[in-house]
Amino acid sequence: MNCHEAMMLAHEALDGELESIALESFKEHLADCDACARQAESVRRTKKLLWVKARREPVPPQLERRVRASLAREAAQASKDSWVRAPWLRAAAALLVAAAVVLFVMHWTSEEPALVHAEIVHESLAKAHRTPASPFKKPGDLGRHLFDNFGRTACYPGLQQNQDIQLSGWCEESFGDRNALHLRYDCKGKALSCFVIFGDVIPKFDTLEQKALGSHMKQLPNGKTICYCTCSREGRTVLCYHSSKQHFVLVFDRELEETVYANLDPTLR
Amino acid sequence: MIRGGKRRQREFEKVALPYLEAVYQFAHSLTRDATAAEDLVQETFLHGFRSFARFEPGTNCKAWLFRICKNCFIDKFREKRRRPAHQEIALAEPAAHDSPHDVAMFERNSIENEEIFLDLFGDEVNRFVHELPEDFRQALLLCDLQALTYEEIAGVLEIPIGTVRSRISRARSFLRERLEGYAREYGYLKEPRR
Repeated sequence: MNCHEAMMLAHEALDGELESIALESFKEHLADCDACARQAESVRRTKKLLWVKARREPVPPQLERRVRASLAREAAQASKDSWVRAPWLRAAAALLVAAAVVLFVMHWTSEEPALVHAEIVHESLAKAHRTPASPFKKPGDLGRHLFDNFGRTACYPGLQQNQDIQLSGWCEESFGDRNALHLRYDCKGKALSCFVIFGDVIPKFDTLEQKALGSHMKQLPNGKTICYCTCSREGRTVLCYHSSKQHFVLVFDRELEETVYANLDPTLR
Repeated sequence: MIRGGKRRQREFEKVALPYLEAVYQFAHSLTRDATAAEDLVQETFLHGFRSFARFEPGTNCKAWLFRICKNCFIDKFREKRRRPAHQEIALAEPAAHDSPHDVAMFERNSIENEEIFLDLFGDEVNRFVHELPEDFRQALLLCDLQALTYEEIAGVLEIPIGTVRSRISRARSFLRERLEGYAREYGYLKEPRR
C-alpha cells in the first residue's frame, strides 16, 4: 500500500468501514510512514472535534407528548377506518337504514305485509340443509327460493306484544355454496330460528363474541328494537330482525336490493 | 381492532421513540428552525407509524426514520423555505491529495494534549459545519454525529455509497482547513512547516 492508497482509506478506516484485511494493510502502512500517520491522526481529531463541539439542539420538552398524541389519534382513526372498511359492517349499516324505513312503513301503514310463518321458513331451510344435493348451488338460489315461496316478507306471528326475545345462540351454516348465519332465539322457553344468508364468504364470526351480535340491535325512534343482520350482494338479501312485538325474516327482492346498493357510496361497495 | 391499533402504536413507540432526539437533531439540521423541525419530526413519526409494517426488524430504525424524515422534508418543507439551491462551494479534494504539512495543527506533536486541542475551538466548529454545502454537511453529520454506516447514509440520502465516501472525505478536509485557518488567525498555530 502506498501513501496515496493509504490516504484514500483514512476516512473509511476511521469510520469503521474497512474490512479486516484492508485495515491491517492500512495499519501496517501507518506504522512505516510518519506522514500518513500524522494525516490519519488529523482525520481522527477532526472527527472527534466535531463530535465534541457540534451543537445539539435542545429537544423541546413537549415534543414527545406531541408525537405520542398524534400517534394515538392516528391509531384511533385507523381503527375507526378499519371498521368502516369492513364490508359486512358497511352492508349491515346500509341495511339497517333500509330496515328502519321498512319498519317505519310497516308501523304506520294499516296494510299488513304478507306474513309467512317463520317456522315454515325454518323447516324449508332445514330440509334444504339436510338434502345432500342441495338445490341452492348458485349465488342467489336460496334467496330466490325464499322469495318465490314466501314472498317479500316472512314473519313469525306467534309473538305477542311485550314478549321478550333473547338471542340464545348462533352458529355458522351453509346452504349449497352459500353461507348462512343461524341465529337462535328464545321466547318464553320456545326456541326460534332465523337464518341470515350471505352471498359471499361469511365474515369471521368465530372471532366475534356473542355480544358482538348484540351490537346489531338497534332502538328505533318508534320504540321498536330490531336485531338486524346483513345481506348478500350477488344473491338475494335476507335481513332478519326482531322487535318487542314481532319477529321478522325479511327477504329482499332484487329491486330493493339493487336500490340499497345503488344508494351506497361506491367506495363502500 | 381498536385494541390492535393500540398494540401497534405501542410497538411502534417502543421501537421508534428512542430515536426522537436523533430525529429531531436531523430534522433541525435540515430545517434550521426549531418550530419547523418539530413539525417535521411529528410528520416523520406519523409516516413511520403508517408504514411500520414495511419496517424490517433487525435493520437500523434510526436510519429508516431519517430517510422518512428527509423525504418528508423534501415533500413539505423544502418548497416552503426555498433555501438557496445546492451550493457549489469548492471543497478540497479528498485527503489523498493533501500533503503532510497541511495537517500540522492536527498532528499529535503539534498539540499533544487533546483536551487543550479541543478547548481551542468553540462555536466556530458549528459555524464552519454550516458553511458546508448541505449535501456534504448531511453526509458528515450522519456519519460523525449519528454514527450511521456509509451504506445507511447512502440509503437515507439516496445516493451511491461511493458518493457518501467522497462527501465525507471532502467535508472533513474542508472543515479541517477552515479550523486551521481560524487557529492561525488567533495565533494558536504557527505557519505550516515546509
